[in-house]
Amino acid sequence: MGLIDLERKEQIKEKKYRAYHLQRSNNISGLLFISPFYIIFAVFGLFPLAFTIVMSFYRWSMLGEKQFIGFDNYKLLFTNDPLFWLSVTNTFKIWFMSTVPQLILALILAFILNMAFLKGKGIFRLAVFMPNITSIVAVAIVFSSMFGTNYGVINYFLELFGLNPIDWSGTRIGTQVAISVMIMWRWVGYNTIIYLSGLQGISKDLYEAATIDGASTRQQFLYITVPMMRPIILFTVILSTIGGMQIFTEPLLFGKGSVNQGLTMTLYLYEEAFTRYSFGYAAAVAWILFFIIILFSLVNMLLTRIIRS
Amino acid sequence: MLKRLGYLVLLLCMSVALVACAGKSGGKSDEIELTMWLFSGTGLEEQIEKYQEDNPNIKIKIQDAEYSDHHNNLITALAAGSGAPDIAIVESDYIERFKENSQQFHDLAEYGANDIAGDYLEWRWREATNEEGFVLGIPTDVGPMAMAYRMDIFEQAGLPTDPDEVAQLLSTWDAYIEAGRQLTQATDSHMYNAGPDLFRVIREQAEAQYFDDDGNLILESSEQILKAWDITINNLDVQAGIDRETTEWGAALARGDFATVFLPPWMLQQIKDNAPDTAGLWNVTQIPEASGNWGGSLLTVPAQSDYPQEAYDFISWLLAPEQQLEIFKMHGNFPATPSIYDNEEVQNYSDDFFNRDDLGTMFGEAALRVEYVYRSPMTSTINDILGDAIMSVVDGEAEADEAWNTAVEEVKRQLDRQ
Repeated sequence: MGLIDLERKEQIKEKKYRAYHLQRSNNISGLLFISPFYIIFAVFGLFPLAFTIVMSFYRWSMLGEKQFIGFDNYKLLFTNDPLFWLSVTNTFKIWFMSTVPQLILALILAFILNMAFLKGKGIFRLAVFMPNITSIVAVAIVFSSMFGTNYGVINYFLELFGLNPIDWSGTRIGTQVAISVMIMWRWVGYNTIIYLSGLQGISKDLYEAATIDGASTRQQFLYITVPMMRPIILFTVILSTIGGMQIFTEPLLFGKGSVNQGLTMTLYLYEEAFTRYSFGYAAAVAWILFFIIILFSLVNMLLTRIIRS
Repeated sequence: MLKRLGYLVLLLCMSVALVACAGKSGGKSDEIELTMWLFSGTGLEEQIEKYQEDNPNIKIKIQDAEYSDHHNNLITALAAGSGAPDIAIVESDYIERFKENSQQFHDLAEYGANDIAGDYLEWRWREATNEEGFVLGIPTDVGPMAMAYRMDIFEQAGLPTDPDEVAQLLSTWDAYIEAGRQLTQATDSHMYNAGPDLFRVIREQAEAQYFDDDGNLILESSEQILKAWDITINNLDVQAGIDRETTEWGAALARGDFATVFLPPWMLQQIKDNAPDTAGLWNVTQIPEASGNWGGSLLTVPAQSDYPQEAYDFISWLLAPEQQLEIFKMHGNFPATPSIYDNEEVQNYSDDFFNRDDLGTMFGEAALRVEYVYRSPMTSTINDILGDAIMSVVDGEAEADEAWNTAVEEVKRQLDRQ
């Protein structure tokens, strides 16, 4: 009895020993398999991230000598840089003007695409998503011509309806609206598809019951769709926030205007680095940008909690 | 199984990498390959081909990029300490920025550049060098300005159309503005496209711009700058408010929304491209009061190059008067070497589009009238600030005085930060 027990124990030990070794070699090859990501991340992600911290303490024109100046870049940024703070306000204005209508429109579009009677859904879904995979540079160039003050197609239609043409590139609000519209056009479809997948998760029974009870489409939308979609709406709000803080290509190609009305935070960062060659200062801007986005995301999360509970 | 597949993939990757390496190191040992970074439109390609045919041991590898990408790539490569080419083109707006960091480039004086200095326009050569005699690069083309005008619109406005009469009438900026006002009132066209462009042209006629020769800011007392500002800002009614380098500009040019265009030689092609239907409606005259330069480039040899002598030999051949003449004949890029301005083919450079058979003479005269002016690395930043200030008045977003004060304040802030 005891002997058999011992043998079995021995066997189990052996098995465990083998399993351990097998596991270990599996671990190593597993690590090897995932290592390309970490190596690439370290080189192209982690190192630049850490290096911008170092850079932000220097005055550095990139070609010349580095000069250590401690927190001077940050001090200057907070005490004497009206342009940066203007770019922060602009970014939030443009973010608000593009995100709010964009999400409302996306929800309505998704609701229509989800309706039972709609034929050719596949085509509509594709069409709605198309703008998102169009080259952003091409979009900005085409929209810039459309928003031309003298020969733009949008002003042409405004005049056709007896309205005054708008100086899109010359006025504060004109430029910001034009940029917002470009962003909207690009992201409405993306949000629509996300909403659509959310809508398909809502049980048909609810709609059927509502229809039997005599609820109109509008009532169904407001009292079934919107409440059921709340978590997904919150998800898209957070995504749009992160995206909206990084608006860059549109104002770069459309033009930031004569009073910097289209200057966004990332465009300012780019200009500091690549037109004024203050790389240290640009690094400091990047870090402040990082904290602004964190702060804004926290506010977002807080609101989310309040709405959820 | 999976593990074996992994090794296989790894092996495959390594062998590919190995082959790639072998491919690079192979090649004849006496053959020298020079890499050369250009932006598009330099017109140098044919002559580079020719040099390679005549010098079989030299191989030139050209890499083209878009204008601002090219300069950013170059700055990045220089800062990184590796990856810069043997030869790089530098446009005039960037010259000061690179001259300030001359340690990044080979001093071409060490390779014989001073021997050929006399071949080039004196003002452009001075721009290419610094006080210590360091030579950053050899000039390619230059952009002396003339002025193109629409004869049909001038006629409609009751202005003369004969180039000599136009030159006589528009001999001063005040006369230019006055004629512009007459034209703006009599037709539904304007005199020129947008405020900042007129400001630029008058500014470029200055002997001193924003800084005196010691580098002190004289923005608020610089006679020519104040004059440029006043003439521009007090007469915004004669401009059309259309920025250059936009689709709007092209459309407006084709429609005849403005009647004069400030004309460095490279602008000829832009007019033809944007407004092909206006062929034959144009004529060319000199700019009021003085000439000025707009654009042009240098070929430089970054310090990272291992073959500075070979690179210098190549570019000094490529940019010698004979080759500049060939480039001009083929592409119309205006040479920086005055000795060939008398050449018949330059003199008789004709263009039916502009009704002229002496464009070369005009640009040659304009090039010789250009004066050297001191610039600082900050000059282009200040240009941007003042251009924006003028545009903000055009847009009705600011009053003239307010715009000036804001701009001066911003200029000082930018300088203080340096």
